[in-house]
Amino acid sequence: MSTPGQVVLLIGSPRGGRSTSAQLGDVLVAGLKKHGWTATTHIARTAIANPPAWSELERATAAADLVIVATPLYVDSLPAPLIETFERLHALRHTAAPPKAQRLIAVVNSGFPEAHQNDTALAICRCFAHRAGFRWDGGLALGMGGALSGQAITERGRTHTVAVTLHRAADELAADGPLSAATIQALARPMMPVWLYRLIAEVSFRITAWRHGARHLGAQPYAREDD
Amino acid sequence: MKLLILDGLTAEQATTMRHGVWLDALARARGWTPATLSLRTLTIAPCTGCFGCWLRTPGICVTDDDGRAVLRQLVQSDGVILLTPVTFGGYSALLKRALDRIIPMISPFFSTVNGETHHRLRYARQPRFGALGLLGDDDAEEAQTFRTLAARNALNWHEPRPAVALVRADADETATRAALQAAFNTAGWP
Repeated sequence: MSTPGQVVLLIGSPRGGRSTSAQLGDVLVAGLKKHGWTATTHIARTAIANPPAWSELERATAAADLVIVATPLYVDSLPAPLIETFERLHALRHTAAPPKAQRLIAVVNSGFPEAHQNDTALAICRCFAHRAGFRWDGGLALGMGGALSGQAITERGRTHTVAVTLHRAADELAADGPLSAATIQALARPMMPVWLYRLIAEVSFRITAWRHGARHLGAQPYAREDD
Repeated sequence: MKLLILDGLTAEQATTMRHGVWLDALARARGWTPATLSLRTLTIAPCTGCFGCWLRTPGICVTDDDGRAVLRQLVQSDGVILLTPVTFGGYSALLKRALDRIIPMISPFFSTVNGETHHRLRYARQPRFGALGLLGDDDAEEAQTFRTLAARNALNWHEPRPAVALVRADADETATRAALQAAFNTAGWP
């Protein structure tokens, strides 16, 4: 077992601590803490808008042994505030190389049922890691993220596999290893049949819209006059 | 035929990278009426992930800033080209901030495209999709990631033949025009 280190959890979701991304990252961090690691959590959207928050992120990242990026998929990629965070960190590290070897992993979740739809976002994280001088230790992709919304990730019920897999991922990271193929595959496994997930999601959309008073979900407010 | 160019270059990049000017000229020569939105001059807040544009005010983002004008102009165009420095294989933060705000263009409901789940389109007519990426160096991993990203975006736009060109940021006008001509021709664009 390697020496406990410092982990930075960087949350890409604009929803911050209330997001599914934060839930997933928190489970990974909790797993690392069991191995004696210390952790700080930073929200990309807050950091780019708030100089003291940015300074904290900058300082923590420079000292980190491991950075965990936890983010939702936005338009096949990463949310803009996370990309801006990457741009700024890269600019800093381009001029001043980090004093020690550092690692980076990412966990990307999306509302699509197919986990592989997150692969491009993971590739962008990998490119950032390479450009910014991190060792890329792998990426986790999770589909059906909507099924976790507002639900604690525990080893009971529907979230069992997610929780067990993230704990295993934390063990692998604590042992200084990259994420194993078995762990990556396990998290990508669907939590339920695709048809069922889509049905639940669409019913949920309709109920939420009804509560908000939105009656015409197919509205076309910007349609061209000749349409 | 209206072509919207979403320019995701920073002010500093725009002083040396003239690719948007060359793209505009080429599009005009091919019969398009191009319009460029320099995103660096607009006020666009980041998407908050609230889904209000689907479930509160369908089709309209709840944040009232220039992001709404970008979406309106995009929906009313026949084609759109994303102009961006290739940033870790993806789009610049400046461009992405605008793109994150265009999800009101699609419906929350699902359809199946190429065996995958995607969202249904909100509008009967979708602008054609294209991208011009400017590579800082010859990083093969970033170039491949960019092409994959553009192809994934096209899939979500239900665009079968996107016009995607990738050139070095220091490419001259001749090289840029050649890459764009090839992209337009391959996509079957005017």
